[in-house]
Amino acid sequence: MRVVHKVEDTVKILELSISDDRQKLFARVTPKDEYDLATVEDLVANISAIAPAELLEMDVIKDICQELTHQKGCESRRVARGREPQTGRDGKLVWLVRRFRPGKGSNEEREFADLFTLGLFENIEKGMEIARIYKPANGTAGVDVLGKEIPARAGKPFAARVDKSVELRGEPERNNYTSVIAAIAGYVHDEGDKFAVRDTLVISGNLDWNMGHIDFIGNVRVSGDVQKGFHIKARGSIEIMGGVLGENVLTSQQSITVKGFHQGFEKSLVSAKGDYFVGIAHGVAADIGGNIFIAREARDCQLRSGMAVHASGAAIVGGSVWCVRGLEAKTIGNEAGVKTIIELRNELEVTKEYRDLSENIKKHEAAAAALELHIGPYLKNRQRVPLLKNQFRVKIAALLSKYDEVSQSLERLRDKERGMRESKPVEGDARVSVIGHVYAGAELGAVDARLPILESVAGPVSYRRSGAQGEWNSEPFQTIKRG
Amino acid sequence: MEKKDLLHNIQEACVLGIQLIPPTILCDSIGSIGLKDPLVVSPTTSLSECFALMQKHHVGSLLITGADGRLEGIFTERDCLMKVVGKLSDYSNVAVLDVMTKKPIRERPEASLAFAINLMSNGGFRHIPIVDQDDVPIGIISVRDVVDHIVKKMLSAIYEAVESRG
Repeated sequence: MRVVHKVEDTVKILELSISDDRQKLFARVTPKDEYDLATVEDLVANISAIAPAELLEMDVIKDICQELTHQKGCESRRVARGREPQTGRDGKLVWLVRRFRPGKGSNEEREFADLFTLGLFENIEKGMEIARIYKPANGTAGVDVLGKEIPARAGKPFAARVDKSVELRGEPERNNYTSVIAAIAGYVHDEGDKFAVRDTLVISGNLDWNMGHIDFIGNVRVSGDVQKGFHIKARGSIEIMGGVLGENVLTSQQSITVKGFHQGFEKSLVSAKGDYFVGIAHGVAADIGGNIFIAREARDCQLRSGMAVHASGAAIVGGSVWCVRGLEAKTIGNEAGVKTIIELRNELEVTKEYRDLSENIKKHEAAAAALELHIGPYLKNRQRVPLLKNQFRVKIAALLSKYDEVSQSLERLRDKERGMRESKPVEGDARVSVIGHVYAGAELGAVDARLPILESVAGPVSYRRSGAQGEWNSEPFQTIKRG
Repeated sequence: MEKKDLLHNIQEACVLGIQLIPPTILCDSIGSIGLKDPLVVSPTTSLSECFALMQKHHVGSLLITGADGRLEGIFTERDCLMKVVGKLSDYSNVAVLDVMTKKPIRERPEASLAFAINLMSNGGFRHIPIVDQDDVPIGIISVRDVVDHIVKKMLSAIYEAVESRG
């Protein structure tokens, strides 16, 4: 503290001291012996000589004045106070989308009760605004007790670390923030103050209740297994380092890889526009736009490939394989003579549309067969129906009408199927090549030409359709070209 | 896309069983639909100034913040209809503080669209202020924004389906 002002008059000696931080002004008042009336106005005038009037503490000054009238002074009383500068608000980051924080937060926080759809991350399209970085505020200037302005400190800017997956875009003249824009499609990865959009979702471990179903805009990579009942839908590729344990739907706009065992059967489906790579497939139904690569075995599978099936080191046992450009396998069928169908089809026949059509035809055929059983002899002997008793006649007539309806519909579907089959020829260069054995029970087919294998044939051997009728003939082994 | 083509594509998509509205749309966060910057005024702003702002920017709501920037209220067309029209005459002498809806329901940008729709439905309001972690408004979402987002997603699903069929 140091003395900054001193006044002496007939009533008192006033000494004003300022604190070291220049925020407080203290008064030391010594009354004089002469009797005179002390007034508040006098005191205020004395103090205002150095401190702005709005900073004075009037209650204290009045109190000092009252004491003076009783000939009492004071040692050190605060009579004015400055205003502290207000530091500006720090810059801040505001996320606009959910970040991927696996295993964090309770289910209540996630707002979801369905453990299959946990919504742990959000699909981010390229160009989407994912966060905003708000600028720091300037703060409010203060004033010291003598009226001198004390500049305010601005808030600290938010230190953002960015990588190439995001862009910072700001319009300083319009907004007080900078937008963080996703430069690639993916999900927002939580890396503290670092902004990153990842186009590959990596599940380090199994895909299970901790993660739920995945519907992702980019690539998906699962380090472990995909547990029973969990689905993956990806715009990019799907790579599963472990196995797929059943009742799973895998859909990709690119390729699907299952390095381990792929269990299929009920409610399971694999659909990809690109290739499908699998170690061992069991009961898998796959609609694949590209090639199918099998490393060790495909058992009881329904495989449809828009290109070729490459299984030069694998056995194909049971089920059916449809392909456009051919198939190469180590063995087809097994020694037990299990029925294994390999068919060369045209491009349309291996599509999902054709598959649905075939399913529909099967349903119609089953319905027609069931109706035939109910109608019995009246199906071929319709003239006897009017002779039946009332209730029975009405029932059989209704069943016959339904049967006709189903038959007509079935005919239309078969025409459509035939049209699809005949609209594009099977590729002339397509063949079935076997390195090891083609076992009895296997059957090769294309359009109407079929070749049931009645006795096992040792390879290497290739089968190809030739001649005017397109019948199957064996020829020296030729490998199926990749690509 | 013309109306005729749009209808045709919608019909075709329905026949093919294509999901026009992706089921995950309601899981999208509010922030992902593109937040509009809110119009913000102080509580002492006069009603006439508020009206001028709303007319100038073609918006149906204003947010009112305190000196610290935190959200204190919202003034919407509904407030105007229920509390101003026919009840007050001199708009320049009335502060928005007196007629605004105080402590409005607000939401964070990471909240899901489903939650926002639910709030709107339960509360019967058309606007929800979006605030950051310090309760400072960073945007506002209206029923119209939600509808626009759903339509945008629906159209992109149709385009995608049409493209994939060639």
